[in-house]
Amino acid sequence: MSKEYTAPNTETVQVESSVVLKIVKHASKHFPTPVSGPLLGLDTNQKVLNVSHAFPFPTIGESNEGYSYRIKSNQKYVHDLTEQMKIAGHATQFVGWYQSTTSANFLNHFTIDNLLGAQINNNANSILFVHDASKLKKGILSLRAFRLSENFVKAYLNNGQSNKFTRKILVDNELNYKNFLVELPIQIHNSQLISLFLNDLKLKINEYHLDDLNVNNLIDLNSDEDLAQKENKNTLLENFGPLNLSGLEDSTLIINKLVDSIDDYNYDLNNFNYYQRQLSREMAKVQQWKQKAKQDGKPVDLENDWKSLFKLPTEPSRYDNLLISASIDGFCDDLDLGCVSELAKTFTVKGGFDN
Amino acid sequence: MSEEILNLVRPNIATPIANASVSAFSVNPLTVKIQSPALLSILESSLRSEDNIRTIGALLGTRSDDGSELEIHDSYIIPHEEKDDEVTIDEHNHKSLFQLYRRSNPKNQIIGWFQTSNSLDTVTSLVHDFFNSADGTFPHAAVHLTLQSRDQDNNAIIPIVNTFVSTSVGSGNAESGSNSLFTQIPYEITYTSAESLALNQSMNSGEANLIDLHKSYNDLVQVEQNLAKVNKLLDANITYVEKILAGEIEVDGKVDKIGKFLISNLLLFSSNYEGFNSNFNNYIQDTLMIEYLVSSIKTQIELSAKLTTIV
Repeated sequence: MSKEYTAPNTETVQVESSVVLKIVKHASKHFPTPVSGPLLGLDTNQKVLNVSHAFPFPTIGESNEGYSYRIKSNQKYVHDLTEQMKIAGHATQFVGWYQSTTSANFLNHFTIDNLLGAQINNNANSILFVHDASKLKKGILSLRAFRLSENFVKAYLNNGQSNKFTRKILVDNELNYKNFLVELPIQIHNSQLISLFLNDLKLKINEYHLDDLNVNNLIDLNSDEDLAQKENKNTLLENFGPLNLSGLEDSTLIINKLVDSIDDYNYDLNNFNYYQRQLSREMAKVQQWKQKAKQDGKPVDLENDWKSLFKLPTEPSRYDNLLISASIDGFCDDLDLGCVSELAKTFTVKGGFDN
Repeated sequence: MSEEILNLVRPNIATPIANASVSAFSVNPLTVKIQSPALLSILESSLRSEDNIRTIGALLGTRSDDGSELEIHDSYIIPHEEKDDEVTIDEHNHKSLFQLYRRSNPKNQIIGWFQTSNSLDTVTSLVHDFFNSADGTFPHAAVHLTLQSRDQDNNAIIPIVNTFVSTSVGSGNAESGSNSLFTQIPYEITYTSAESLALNQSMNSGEANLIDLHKSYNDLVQVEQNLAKVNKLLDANITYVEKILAGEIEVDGKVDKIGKFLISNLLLFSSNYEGFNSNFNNYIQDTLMIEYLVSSIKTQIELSAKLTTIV
């Protein structure tokens, strides 16, 4: 079933602009429901993974983010798609999938397990695109590419294909919540033709604006988005909805998720603490027994015989902890960024006002 | 009164192929809307056409109830071969791809086809007939989109997109093939605000046509870009007002707009400057508070991870 795992040989991701648009279109159409879909592309030998096509998954199983890839009908869809694309003359293969999400909410078992499966069984260069659709409202295009680190995959394989990581495994493989998932640099690639086209479009729009001396746009600062949408040309380059000072309202959602994650974290930590207490109790018993054995002068192997008499509790997996920590960290990063950009906006307004 | 007027009617969909089955054809002029993701993928398709061999493909989308409005949502390439005046289309591949596209977006129908060449020749008519048939858009008329990316001397040019519908002329004998008359129809490119945002990002490319998205401070860069834009607009407006004051430009309706804007927004603030100011400061304090709490959570998580891995 599983091929020999070789380390991924691509370090950056180049994505065609049409792919970006398709992902954005799919995600914004269904927002806030998370969506996902397969990515087709090619890993070249120049350390670049080229993503040339994106498709929406036909079956959306996103009550759990990252689940769609697992659904049988979707897997068949991907298979059929790659076949037909090959016939149509595209040199592409399945290279991963995209997911829309809110902040770091994508970090869960399904996503990681699926990514693990794809990286081991499919293509070591498989990637996960995460598109934060909630940021679109703030005027920010967020598309990130992730891959599980080599150490993580190796640890998983060496551990008998199990994610029950003990602390020893984590330390041996130098894994922590910050490095088990690697973010790859992602670049939008425009073909010459497309940049020609886009620049032409840009010129045309700029002409329109110069002609109008931009007054209309200033007025639009406070009008709602609908109005701006009616003036299609306006929206393309100038949309100031994102500059409204409302970034913190959206943060409520992230904060709620953050609080949930922290609850999960504490639950996991309690389990772990329970284990530690059990362990130290058992260890104390073992010590006692060793002392006694020494005093009695019985011929016993002090280092090994106790193992048949006492059973130490098994160490709980640190895997959950890893995931939850990572998502907490992700939520915090997003909140932090949100705050900083909010401050930037606030001080701009204040600066204008004080004058 | 006796001026001669030539009245040209824009083509409408009232060129039915099978008028019996469709009751109400619209007499409104036909309009085509191309969604920007579809347009970009068509543009990308043209990169695949090798020396003077065009690429053809299907256009997927929806039509309005009366058939007068077409919206192109997606497209895919269909393999084909040209030999003199004959053309073979990989029908099987076309059908399978269509079914696959349809599965994730059931509303999409085939509404026409595109080619990456601007020549309307025999092959065009043949392929067009194919798309007008039962495997294509039947009983509706197919739309044809051409994309020209090179001029006669084979130099790259700014891509030109045109859309057409065809009318059968002559005896209607399909054997001769080239009995279609193509009429150009207007089209429009549409963007949603989300798509325009993505397009906007794509436009910011440097020399290598690559845009980095990965930087962790990318969000801030985008905010900065937006703020810089506002700055520019404000400057433009100030210049405009100054010019009016200096009498260089005549007063027109735009001044009213600016005036209204000032009155409705700015005066409101200045009448209650103190209140506004304190609210504003509170807001800043709140933001800073969140930032502080968030960073302390981050530190705790990091500390916790460090401590638990000490074996």
